[in-house]
Amino acid sequence: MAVTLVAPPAPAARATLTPDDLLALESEHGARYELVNGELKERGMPNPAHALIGGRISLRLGSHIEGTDRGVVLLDCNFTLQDDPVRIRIPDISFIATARIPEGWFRTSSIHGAPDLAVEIVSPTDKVSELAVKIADYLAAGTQQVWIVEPSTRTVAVYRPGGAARVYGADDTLDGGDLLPGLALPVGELFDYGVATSSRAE
Amino acid sequence: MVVTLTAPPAPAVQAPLTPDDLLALEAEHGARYELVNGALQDRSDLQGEGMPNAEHGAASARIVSELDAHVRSGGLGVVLVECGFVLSDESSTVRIPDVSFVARTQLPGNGLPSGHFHGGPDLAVEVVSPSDKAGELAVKIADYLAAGTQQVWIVEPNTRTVTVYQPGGAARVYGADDTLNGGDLLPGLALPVGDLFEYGVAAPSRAE
Repeated sequence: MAVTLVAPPAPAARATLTPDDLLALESEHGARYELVNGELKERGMPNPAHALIGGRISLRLGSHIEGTDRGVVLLDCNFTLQDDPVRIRIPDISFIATARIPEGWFRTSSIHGAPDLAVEIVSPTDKVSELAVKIADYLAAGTQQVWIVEPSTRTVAVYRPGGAARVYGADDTLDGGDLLPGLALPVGELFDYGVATSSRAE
Repeated sequence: MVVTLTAPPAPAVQAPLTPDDLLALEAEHGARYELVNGALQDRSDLQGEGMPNAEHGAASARIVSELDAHVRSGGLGVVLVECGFVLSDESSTVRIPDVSFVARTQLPGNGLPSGHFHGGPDLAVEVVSPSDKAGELAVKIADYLAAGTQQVWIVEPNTRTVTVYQPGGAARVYGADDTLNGGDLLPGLALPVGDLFEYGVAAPSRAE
């Protein structure tokens, strides 16, 4: 018997959605949308490169803090950065240091506040301007480092509060700064997939 | 009388093209395409949201005006609009920054070349359009820096910021309250970022 998979239709656009509306949508659509000033913003659909790199980063970050009480590494976690107008962002990977994990966070559907580290892996469809707003949202809400992982250039750009930024190339090593002391993450390794890939789209 | 304007059809692609092929196309198509590894790349992403929008034009004009005043008063070089730069002959890559600056000392014979510049401009400025893709912009920045460009300014009307990228990974995001100082390239420049987004008329409502 032929089985046809049909994606659920995009939710009907309504003027201003609430965090509860977004949660209701997630049961049907997964973590596909963010909420920005009450409007749905579709996250880029992850492609294989995105998924591979995301796996790499979470593995490295996870093993760096494994067995310590430094904090938690989270995948696709829902953060309410701002209440009014509501801004909910879902970084691909995030880290919260133990001291800043909010009370009762484990039973909430959206963590109230910002992650200390937000990692976004750029998808081919991501728009520059939306990414810039996203970075600004995190930093304004208290995030200490935003990593923008760019497969097309094999770089990781690290943005910090106050305008500080740095682009790390394939030969550089991310050190985690004050947030993740002792981390030594060679950028090039994030893009060495260990399996054959087609040529990079430019 | 109804006049119908029809854009010329996109040129038949026969990659890899050379910088000279691109120069020939410009006669018909204007500065619409860049050449990346011998392949045409549409600058304005016409499959997306179309030609540079009003705010792109207004912000570009503000930058040209501020930069040109400073560069001319100091005799520092030349400010250019939509000028083609052959970043690499080997890989056949030609980029067309929205605004660029070439220092006097870098000009061949202290003057303008005929045709394209070869090598990167000293400063490349790109004003972000709503349809610009992040991945393509990252490649563009890397192309300029690899070709000897000393500063790439990414001007983002949506966040009212200018991000300055320099060789070796240095970068900084300047907000509306910050002032661009031009570094070694444009000594004496003091350009308040917020001024770049003051168009003298109301800005459009921000898409977020």
